Amino acid sequence: MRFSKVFLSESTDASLGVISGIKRFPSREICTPVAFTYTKGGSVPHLTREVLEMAFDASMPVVMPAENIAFAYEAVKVFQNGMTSFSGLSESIFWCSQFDHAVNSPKSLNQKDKVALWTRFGKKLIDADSYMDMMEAFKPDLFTVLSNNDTNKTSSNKQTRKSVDQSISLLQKCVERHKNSSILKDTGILAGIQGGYNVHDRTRCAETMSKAEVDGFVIDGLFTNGLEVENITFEDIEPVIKVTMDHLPKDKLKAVYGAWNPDVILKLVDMGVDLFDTSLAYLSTEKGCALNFKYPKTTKRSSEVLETVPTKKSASSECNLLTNGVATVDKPDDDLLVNGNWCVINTMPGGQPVFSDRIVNSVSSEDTNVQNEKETRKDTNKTDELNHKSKLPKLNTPPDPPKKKATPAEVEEKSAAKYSSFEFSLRDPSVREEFIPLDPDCLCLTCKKHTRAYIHHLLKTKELLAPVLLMIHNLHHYQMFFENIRHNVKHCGKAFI
Amino acid sequence: MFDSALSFEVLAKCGTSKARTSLMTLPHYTVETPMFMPVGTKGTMKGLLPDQLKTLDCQIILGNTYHLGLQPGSELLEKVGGLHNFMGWDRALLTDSGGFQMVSLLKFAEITEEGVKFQSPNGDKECMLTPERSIEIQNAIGADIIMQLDDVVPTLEKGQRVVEASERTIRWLDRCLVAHKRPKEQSIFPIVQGSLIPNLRIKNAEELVKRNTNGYAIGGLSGGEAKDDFWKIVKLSADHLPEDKPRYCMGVGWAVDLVICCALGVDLFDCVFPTRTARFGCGLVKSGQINLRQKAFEFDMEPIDPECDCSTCKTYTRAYIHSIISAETVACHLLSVHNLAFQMRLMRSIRESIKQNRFPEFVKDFMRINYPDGQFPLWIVESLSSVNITLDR
Ligand SMILES: [Zn+2]
Ligand SMILES: [Zn+2]
Repeated sequence: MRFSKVFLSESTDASLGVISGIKRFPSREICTPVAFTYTKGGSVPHLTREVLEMAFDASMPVVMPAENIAFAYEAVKVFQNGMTSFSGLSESIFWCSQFDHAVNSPKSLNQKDKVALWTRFGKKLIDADSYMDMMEAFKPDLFTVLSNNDTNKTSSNKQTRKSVDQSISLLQKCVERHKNSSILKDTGILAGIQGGYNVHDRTRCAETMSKAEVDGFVIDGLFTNGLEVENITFEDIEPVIKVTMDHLPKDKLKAVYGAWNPDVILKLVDMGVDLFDTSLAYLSTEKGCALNFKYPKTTKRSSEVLETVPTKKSASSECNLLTNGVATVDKPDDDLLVNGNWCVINTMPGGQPVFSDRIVNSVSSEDTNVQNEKETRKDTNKTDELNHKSKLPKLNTPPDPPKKKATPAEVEEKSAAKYSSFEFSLRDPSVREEFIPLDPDCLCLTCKKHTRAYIHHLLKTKELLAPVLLMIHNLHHYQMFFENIRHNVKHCGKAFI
Repeated sequence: MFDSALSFEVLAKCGTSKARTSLMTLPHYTVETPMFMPVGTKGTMKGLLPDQLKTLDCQIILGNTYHLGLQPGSELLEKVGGLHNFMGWDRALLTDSGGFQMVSLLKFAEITEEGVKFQSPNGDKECMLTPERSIEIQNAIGADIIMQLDDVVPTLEKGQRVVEASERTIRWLDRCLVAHKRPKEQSIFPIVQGSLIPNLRIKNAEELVKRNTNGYAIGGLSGGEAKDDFWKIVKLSADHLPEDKPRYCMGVGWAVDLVICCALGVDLFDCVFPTRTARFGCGLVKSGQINLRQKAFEFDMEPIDPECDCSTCKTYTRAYIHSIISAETVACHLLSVHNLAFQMRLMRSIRESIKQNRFPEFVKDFMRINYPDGQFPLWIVESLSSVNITLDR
């Protein structure tokens, strides 16, 4: 596997890159920043191969957490063709991550040289060797090494120190196995940078791991409950992300897992993170929600001058936005860019697009905050009620995150069902007779053929088609989000516009 | 009687048995018969997209009036222009009357001459499903074929109650026909009742035929009766229904039953079986079904059926389906697709064999695969011999 940066912004650390040299797909290139499609048990949640082909390009890159495919290890070993062939996604570039970052992992009782994976059949303690055995059976194109990521905002110094010590030792063992494995030697390898929210431990981990023979790094150990990631603010993680990035080689791949609030994703892109996953699309689906945040492409550029790094080879059609990275020079757009901010246009359940004009720094002024908080409490209560009344069978319904960063438009909005500003609930009784698509501008298969009212009905009757339709829309929405991120990084030198 | 809501053209008849293959032209689609109609109770087919159903060659699917009437409700369906629009399905639909569901799902349903009296599901009020109300809801749903409200009695019920039900079914049919507001777009099928009593069945069928509707259903079977009674009643009822109208045997979906009923001259079938059994982890194969939950499939790298050309069998192994069967909805979708493909393929083979005038051979081959030792159950031998197909033991 190779990774090369093809475009660097001068104003931020955002960049465009190309992942190539995948042994199974020599001519394939993936442009970064990119979100690999999150999977469960080897499949895109709720979507069979047939549906993927109908609604998407079925060769989309996927991330499969070892934790949620560990159950298939024995069978895949017998099968011999790797996990993606086993699970019907053989044309997908396959990143094997370690933990399932879209679930709540209970505190893992890691031992000295072993890390606990919570598989479907319970806790499984594995060491570096057994992890690498799994990798040899799963045959990923790219994998994250075993590490101890059992840290979050509340972890003690002792815990963060331990996670770093153990992870460094595990990395050495995994790198050694990787070098000597005939099966894995062409496979990309990512180290997991740990250290929780402890700047000192982060620095130590990044410094040490930056010298390892790896293709890139996952900045890990930021959360233990994947369901609550959307509530972690950028301000929470900024110090440890910054110090980590500062100590890592600029030209290597950087990844962050998890269902982050979209504005956190944009800021991470601007700090130089290349690789993400679509777990937000999945978690939104499980709640009965549709993503509806607007993040448009813009060809307007801000005052920064963009710089192009010469491309080593001609970009494929899939990478066409990378060619001649010179953006058209327009005069700065007063409406969108002067505030230097991300313009959110929420399509409210009422069907009317609500333009939350110019959210300034995503943090409203003091008095608006107070107002928001009152509204939030009311909303959360109502949402709770809704949640209790109708839950999808067998699906994890995450606790309602407190609504945050409500825009003035949202404060006026009476709807009770918005979990947060980037999605809306199809369980909300107000969509019962809305015979319009989830997003009238969306071109996904769901929005082309089905209405909010129908999906509301499917949720109420607990029909399996509800999460299928929501997953199609949410995945499409998230893919478009990243397409627009790449476009905007190229044209504006940054994602957070 | 000319009625644009349904036309029925027999394309070919089996030279030996009573099997026939026909085109049934409905407002939304021209359905090839014999045809199996999968059951999509609440306006969706177990997680499958309408386009997947089309790929599977589903031509007509069934919705349940009782469930749709509760949620989303007939007012909403009327507003959106019917169930076709609501669920995004542009081929044919059939709805049942709601009566059967009510009697089988609700503890306190009580049948009077007026209709079926029942407690609303949240128990707060008493409701009444009359023939008129059933048709009103079905008019709102807008299916191509709608069913009369019939007086349902358990298949094994005997005595005066059976006679009463059979006669009441005719009175209710007349009320349904009067209440029907969209005869140009929807056809009412009456339902032959009369339990397992031959004379009652004949009398009932004769009365229904006088109403000259576009098609007829045979009801009150698949309720635990002996197979020996089942086939005799199907044959008797079919024999008393007109040649030039479609015949629909309700609640039949097992492969062997489908083949026999086709031989007896039935054109349409419905059953929850293929999709329900998928939900329990079972895949249909020529010799019956396999339960993918069994540990035996852990390392089985074959598709569910190596000869099946469905999207599931093209891509997935038994081992993979086994590995996700209780954890991921995908497993259920994969089995539903395969099972419907199985069902649709069976019906297609039946239609083709009739067209090629080799239906009796098809039946013999089919039975040999299902009973490789040649030990055919007596009811199969007798039912087939009643239509001149002789199985060699
Ligand atoms: Zn959409
Ligand atoms: Zn199949």
